[in-house]
Amino acid sequence: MTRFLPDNQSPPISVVINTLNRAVLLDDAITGVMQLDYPNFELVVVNGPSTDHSEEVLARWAGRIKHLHCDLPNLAVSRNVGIAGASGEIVAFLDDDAVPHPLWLRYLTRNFADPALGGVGGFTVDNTGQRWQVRKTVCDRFGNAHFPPDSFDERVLNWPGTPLYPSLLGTNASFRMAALRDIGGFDHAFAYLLDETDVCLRLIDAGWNVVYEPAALIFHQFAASHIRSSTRKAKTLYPSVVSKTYFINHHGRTEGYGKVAGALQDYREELLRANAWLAEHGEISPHHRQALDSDVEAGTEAGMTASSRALIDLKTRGDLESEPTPEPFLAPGHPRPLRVALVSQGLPPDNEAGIARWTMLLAEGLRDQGLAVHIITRARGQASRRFVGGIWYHAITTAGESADALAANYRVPRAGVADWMAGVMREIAFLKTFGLDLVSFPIWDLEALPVFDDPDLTAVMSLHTSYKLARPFKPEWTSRVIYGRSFVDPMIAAETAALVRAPHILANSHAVIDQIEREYAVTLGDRAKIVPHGTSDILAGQGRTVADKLARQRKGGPLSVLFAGRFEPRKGYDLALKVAAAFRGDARIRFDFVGGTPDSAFLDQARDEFGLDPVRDHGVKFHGEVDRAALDALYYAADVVLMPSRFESFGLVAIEAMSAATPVFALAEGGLVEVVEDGISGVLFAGEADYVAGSIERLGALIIDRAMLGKLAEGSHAAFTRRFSDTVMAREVARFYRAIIADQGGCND
Amino acid sequence: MIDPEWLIHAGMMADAPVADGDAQRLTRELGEEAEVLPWLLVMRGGFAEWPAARAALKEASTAVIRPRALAQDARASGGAGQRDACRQALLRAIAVTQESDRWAVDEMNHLRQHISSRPQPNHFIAVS
Repeated sequence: MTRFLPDNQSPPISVVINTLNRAVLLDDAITGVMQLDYPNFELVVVNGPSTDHSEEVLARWAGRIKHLHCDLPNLAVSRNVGIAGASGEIVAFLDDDAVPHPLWLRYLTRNFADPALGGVGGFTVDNTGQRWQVRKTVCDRFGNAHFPPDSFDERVLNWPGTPLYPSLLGTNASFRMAALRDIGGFDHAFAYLLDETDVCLRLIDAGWNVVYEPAALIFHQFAASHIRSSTRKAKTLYPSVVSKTYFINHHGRTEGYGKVAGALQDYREELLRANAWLAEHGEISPHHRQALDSDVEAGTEAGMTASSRALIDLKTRGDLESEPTPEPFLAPGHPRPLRVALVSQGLPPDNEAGIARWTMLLAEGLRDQGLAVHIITRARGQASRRFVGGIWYHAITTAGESADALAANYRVPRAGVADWMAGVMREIAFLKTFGLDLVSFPIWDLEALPVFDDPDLTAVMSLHTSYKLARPFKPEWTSRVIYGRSFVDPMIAAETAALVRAPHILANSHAVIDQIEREYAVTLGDRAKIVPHGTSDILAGQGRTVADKLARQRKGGPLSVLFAGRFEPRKGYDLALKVAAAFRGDARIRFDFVGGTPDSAFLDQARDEFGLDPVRDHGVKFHGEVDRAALDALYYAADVVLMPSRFESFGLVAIEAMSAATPVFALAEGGLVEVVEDGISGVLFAGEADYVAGSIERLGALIIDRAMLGKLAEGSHAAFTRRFSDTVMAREVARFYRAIIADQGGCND
Repeated sequence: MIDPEWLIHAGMMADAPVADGDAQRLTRELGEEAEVLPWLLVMRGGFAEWPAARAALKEASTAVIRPRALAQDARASGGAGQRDACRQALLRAIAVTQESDRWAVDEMNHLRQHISSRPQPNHFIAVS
């Protein structure tokens, strides 16, 4: 069964989230619900009694969700508040530390076409995003769980009085509203644990059916709670013991009182044994063990008292108020978002390289533009899938078993390219089940090249530095004959083939398009769209303004000059060293070099060729590789950034400098010509000799002329805000994606 | 890492001398010893005095595996081959003879992502 119900036959669903002090994860849970692909749902969030900033989080969603309150730390009470406020025909429960698969509701509801069905539950993925937490669960009448294989057909257990029955997990359970009202909803005796198991058992005893839908996925993150820590160790056992004792004595009587007594004894001994084991192995303190043992005793007594009272009262129904009057159905009122996947092997903070940083900024910006965004990146350890800050992160590994065919089909090296490409395509196959619309990948390593051949997806290749453009600056690619011929040459051939075939190309400058058309002898034409890179505002990130920087510069002090880049010929570090050497011993100016870690050979070169000795000359400092915060601080501290790159497809360093109100002295090559406006946001020099001589002259002038320096600082930041902010970039890229999807007749939110 | 002294000796042997001042840079540039012989042969014209050895080395350098035949095979029958492998796995599962054998339904769930044109999300979550 793979078909879903047609939209006009899809029943209205109320998704209910019951939350208590989980503000940090609650926003992601709500965002995940808002990205559901279902025509007719509302979200009910029952908060309380929270003491964190959950209310502030919920206030941001005002008008789009039903926001209710619960005064007791009791999950069954909170669930009944949610049911009472829900207007759907189906109620689906989701934890506040969980995120649904976009088709969660569609998979659940296709089962509700059967009118005898009272409840449907999905399968739940653990916090790795890669493995199961819970699949099919069958419980006995003492609340003990058993885990049959997926192939077990739980429908055979759907008969009143059954000793074993399918039990749904609270974070992935849906119920027919009429069925819930039929049994009186949740029983308030279950403050925590077994509340949903009790509902499933009472539904089946009342003649309703409960089944599993394996494809209805929830990604569960296991946050800490008032009951357990994030490592799942109990802070208190009391509510669990009350629930379990109540359950055994309430439902187990069908099996006979002797078995009830045995089950209670077994449960108590199991807990005391577990507490002792944890204490003996240092997992909990002796004091903690004592507290947990006391919980067992007190919880047993409370559970027995409550279940005995239920027996005397002949209680068979839950505690849901009989005639709730919910507010009208509140649909969020926006269409399914455009869903895109961005591929980048590296990501900040571990990797601050150009493509990695661009991908991260673009993902955040696209999210803010209302798109559903996935990032596919390389796992540093175990593979994982996580939804954080409204963005899906898929940290994956290579898939060597599928690499041979890709290496052969796309003529790319197997090791390092095809095996990674295969891993990416495996994850994209998974994302197609999310309703993925578009995949964007960089030309470097052609990471998702097979998407060109997938008729279900739109492919965009983004232009950055490629193997062919980088080769002139990588002498080792020529010297290493084996590497060059077995890796670099095939990659360049594959790049050429990809440029010929790519249906859509995203470029950051005219320069890179010109360069690529010339070098590869291809015509990109209308397939290419230019959107300049953007970056975050370093000044704003540091809580500063342009006025702060100007005030600092007016105070005098040495002129601060920064070079940010690796020590490789393409970056023109040698030109920067020549400029620095010209001011050797001049206390009115200082130079900082960041990005490359100088080894002894480099320091020898700096000393022998340029006369620079950082040990003796305090006006020159080599910082090596620094983290993002330190780099941002250096950008702000700098008065001028030297960027003598011999080729940059764009020049991210330049706009980062401009965002810190720091003008850029650039060589008029590649994309820098389009980024730096001569005399406004920096200075452009025509050739290498001009760069060195001109920079020396201009820096010498700026040491004295602080008014000119201030004018350049203002011009730099104004140009950044107008053309290169991350918001501008994301808006333009989102517009591009929407346009090409619309052209293909797809969804366009 | 290449030993600079070894590189200088190798250059002398191949009639392609490496200057002392270049050795350090070249060891970094070439990276690994396997790259030295092709570099001497192709980039520096080494072994010029040894025509027979040079010819043999050139021939060896062209005898690399070409993926073209494999590519044709993958294009024509790659999908069919994978489907057939899945079918064989299912046939084995149907004939369950001992406890450790996989059951056909479990096997089908496991293989479905490879053979279904419309896989479900649960097919991509690891079973173990």
